[in-house]
Amino acid sequence: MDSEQVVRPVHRPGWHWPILRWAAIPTLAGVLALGFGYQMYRHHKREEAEARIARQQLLLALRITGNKLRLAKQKVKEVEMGQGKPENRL
Amino acid sequence: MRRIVFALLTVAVLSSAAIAQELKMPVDLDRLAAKASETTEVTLNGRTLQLAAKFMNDEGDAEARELVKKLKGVYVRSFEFDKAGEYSQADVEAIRSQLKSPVWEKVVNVHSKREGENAEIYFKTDASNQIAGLVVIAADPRELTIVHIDGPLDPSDLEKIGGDFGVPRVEMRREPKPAKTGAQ
Repeated sequence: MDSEQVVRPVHRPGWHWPILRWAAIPTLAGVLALGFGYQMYRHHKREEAEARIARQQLLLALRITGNKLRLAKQKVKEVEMGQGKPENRL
Repeated sequence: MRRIVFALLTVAVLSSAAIAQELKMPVDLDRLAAKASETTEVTLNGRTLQLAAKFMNDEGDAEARELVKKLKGVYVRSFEFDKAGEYSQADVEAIRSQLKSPVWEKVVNVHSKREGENAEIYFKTDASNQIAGLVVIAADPRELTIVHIDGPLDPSDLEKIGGDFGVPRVEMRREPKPAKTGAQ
């Protein structure tokens, strides 16, 4: 009985119009391009936010380094003006 | 077989981490954060520094950007304590023990017995005798700061950013090597 069943093609009137078939391709391409562009934008924004934090951390690190180097230099000067000379070459 | 692959992977990961930072901040330093009233921790590896450099477009960033492009890492651990004696010499020694000659050269060593303030500056030199890294250890009774800048630095770099970031203008002067007379 099953073997007698005939599979009939589904009738889709819209897809028979050539203009719709051709329009589907650029539409799909457009959607894909938009999706890709949005992902790129999000990636850029995320990277920018990371970079901003990194920049702040870097400035903080350089500031701390500067402070400590200045402190060391000041100590060296104090010692040089006082009794002995420390082991330094700055 | 799986064990061998796992072991090889572990070694590869550990060695790459070691290469990336070289100077290891001991785990004990992180323990100090619990005791500290203020903690500053900065860990910037090469990738993060390059990312930061890419977005350093503000006025006055140009010189710092050029410096940062060359660096492989910037690591800072700074602890401020409410009272003295919260950290031990062993904590500092764990760092100091890694800064050995001939790779590392101590260029400044100041110990103040009166105020209990210590400052040490080390330079890492490469095969061509260029500065390839900087470590600053600043310790006083209520504060401990360790800074490690990994990457090529020349004195002019420090001079350039001196105004912008408060890094003092450091003038390098090589000490003449003492003549080998045999007498000390």
